[in-house]
Amino acid sequence: MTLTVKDLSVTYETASGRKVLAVADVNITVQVGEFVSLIGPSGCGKSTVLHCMGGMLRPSAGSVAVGGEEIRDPRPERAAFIFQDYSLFPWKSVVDNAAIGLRFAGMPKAERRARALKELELVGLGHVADSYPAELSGGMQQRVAISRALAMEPEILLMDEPFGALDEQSRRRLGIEMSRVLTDTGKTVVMVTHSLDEAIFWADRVLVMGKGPGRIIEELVVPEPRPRRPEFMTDRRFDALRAKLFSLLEVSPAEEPVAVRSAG
Amino acid sequence: MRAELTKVWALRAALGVALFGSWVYATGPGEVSPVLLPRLELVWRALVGFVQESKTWEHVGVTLFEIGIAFLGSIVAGILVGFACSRTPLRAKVSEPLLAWGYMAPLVLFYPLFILWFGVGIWSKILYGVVSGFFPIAFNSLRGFQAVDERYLRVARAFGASPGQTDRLVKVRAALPMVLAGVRIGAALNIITVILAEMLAAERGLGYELAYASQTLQVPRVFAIIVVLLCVVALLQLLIQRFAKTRHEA
Amino acid sequence: MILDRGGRSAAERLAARATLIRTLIIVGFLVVWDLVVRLDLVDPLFLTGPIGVVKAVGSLAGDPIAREAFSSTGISIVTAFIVGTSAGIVVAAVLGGSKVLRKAFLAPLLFILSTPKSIFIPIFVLVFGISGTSAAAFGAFEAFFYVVVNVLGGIELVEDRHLRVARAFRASRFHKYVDVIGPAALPGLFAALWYGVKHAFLGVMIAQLWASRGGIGDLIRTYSTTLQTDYVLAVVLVVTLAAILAGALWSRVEDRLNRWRGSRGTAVTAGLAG
Repeated sequence: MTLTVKDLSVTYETASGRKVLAVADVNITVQVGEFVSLIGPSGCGKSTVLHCMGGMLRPSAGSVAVGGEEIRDPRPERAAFIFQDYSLFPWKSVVDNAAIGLRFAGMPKAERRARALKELELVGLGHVADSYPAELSGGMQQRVAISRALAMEPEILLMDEPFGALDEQSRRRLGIEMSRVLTDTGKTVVMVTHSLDEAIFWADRVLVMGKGPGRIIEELVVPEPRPRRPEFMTDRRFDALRAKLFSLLEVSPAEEPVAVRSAG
Repeated sequence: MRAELTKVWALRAALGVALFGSWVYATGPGEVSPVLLPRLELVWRALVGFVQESKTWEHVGVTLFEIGIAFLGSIVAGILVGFACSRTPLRAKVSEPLLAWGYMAPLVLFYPLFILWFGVGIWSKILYGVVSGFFPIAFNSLRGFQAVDERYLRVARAFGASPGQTDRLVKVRAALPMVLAGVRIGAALNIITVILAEMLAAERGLGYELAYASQTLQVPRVFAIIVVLLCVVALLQLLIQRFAKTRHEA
Repeated sequence: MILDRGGRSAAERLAARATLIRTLIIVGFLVVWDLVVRLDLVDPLFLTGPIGVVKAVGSLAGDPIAREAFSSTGISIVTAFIVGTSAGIVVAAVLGGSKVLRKAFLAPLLFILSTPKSIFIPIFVLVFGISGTSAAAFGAFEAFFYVVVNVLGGIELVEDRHLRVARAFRASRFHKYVDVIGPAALPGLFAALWYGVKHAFLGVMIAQLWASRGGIGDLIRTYSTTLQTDYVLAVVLVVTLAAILAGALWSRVEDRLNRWRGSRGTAVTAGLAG
């Protein structure tokens, strides 16, 4: 089902009572099976938009709908989150973490464990199902968080800088692997990132956001079928897109060079 | 923010009103025996009387003196012992459980022995206070000096610090927050034990006055002395909070 | 890791040596204590040698008055623990549920926690008389504050990001408590139980030492005023060993409970001694 964001605005109140317009008049349409990345400088409201898409945040104006039905609360079986800091429960084993959403939904233990295990195997973690999160590396923990989301069998995945906390090596390896998994399962994905490479390599479409207030300033289409091979990153078309994105983020009113920081 | 602060104070005021309200009710229409709970104005009068007695300030002085000396004693002994024990891994391994056990022992029970050995004068209180404050300070100092971050020591080595300079400029500074945490616990224990000791057996001091008033059933005076004691403790706590803290601690 | 011929690591050898030296220190202390008494360096009225104390422990065990004192103190402690801990948990749950309530009342609670609570004993004696009840009530009072503060400390350990996951995956209120808040706050709850026991015990002891009929406090007071120093030391020794044993046992249990946390859960309890 199509995900539509219509005239979305979010206003919040600071501690001193001042009203701040964080996101203004954002319009996005994401087609079924499409991968859209959302990039922009820190504080441009890209996470805010993502949280609205998942029903974690109510828009101050405008609406978010999936297949015509308005989203007002989190519905993980429709759109599931993958957070930057993994946020696994350290007191639960890996398989129980992956099954947590199913537990919340009231699925019996044996059934939900079987399903979680299947998802863990898909991301290559079947062998650590009985370990605890503290025993895993950051990359493995994020894979568990991905399984947790996939176990809900959602149509849409919402990823909030999913690889932001990983080192360059694991980030790239996991990226390539996930790109395959996500394309195979045909999920619709919206990913927030501040890495130029990630934004291009993964997505069918890159939405560039600007700051003050957060809004969409440009849309780039990546005309390359998915899944993509790593060599795509050294392709001339990739370079051209990257240069375009770089200049867009350079001229956007960002004070800090955050868009450049994680490039590479 | 402003609204929240107003709520916080309103809630505190409500608790205060409820407390004093039920006190007034209990001693008035509630007909609770004045031996259990004296009327508020009697407590107030006793408080005013107590504060005006010249003897009172002597007692306050004695109590503060005992706490002060106990505090100094446990700081000096605790930090010295903690530092000495931290010098080699073997010493640390040997002493850490001993200090922890000393901390876990119910020192309350030892007070009759202190009376037996050091008499009912001020020295039994001071020594008792020193012992009670010593263990947490020594234990924390040991942990603090021992757990100095290897990175700082590497910097000291890399920039050619002598052993003495490493001790003075790196180890002591790095251990300070942990040591001061011990000092704060120790100081609280100094106050608690000295006042308890005065209550149990003494000739002078605020704790003694409280015990005496209680045994002679001067109930309003008991409440008045409790108020004075709370003020003294609050003042000492404020001093500790103010000074037993490093600038880089949050 | 470098192993010696016996297959032990350097750390294990260090620990073994440390245990040996520690034992020697304790034995040395006992020997000095014994010599001081044997050589008449102090008045035997004020200090009995270690052997005399052990003998006194033996005769205490056979003395019905002492046994009665221990059991009545035990009952007071259990009562104090149950009353103080349950009241503490209830209050902490109420405060834990509201940020404003916590802001309003945590500071006063912490202040009372840091005061010598013994100054309130006279009030307990006024209300409950010189009896086991007043000791138990004071023990409950003492335990209460430690329980509240530690349970609240546990609730502070609940992380926003975990609550966010609960919301994103649609946890019901029940699941939020059972799967997220409960396990995250568990170290605080266990610390609360331990501090509840410890301070129920200390509170009862303090109250009984100050004024009581029956109980260990009364026992110690009687023995010390009649200068039966060996008996005073015997009672103190037995109770102290029991307390240290319980404390050591607790830190083992605490380590095990917090294994998934990666570090020891001492953050909750640090600074709350006394």
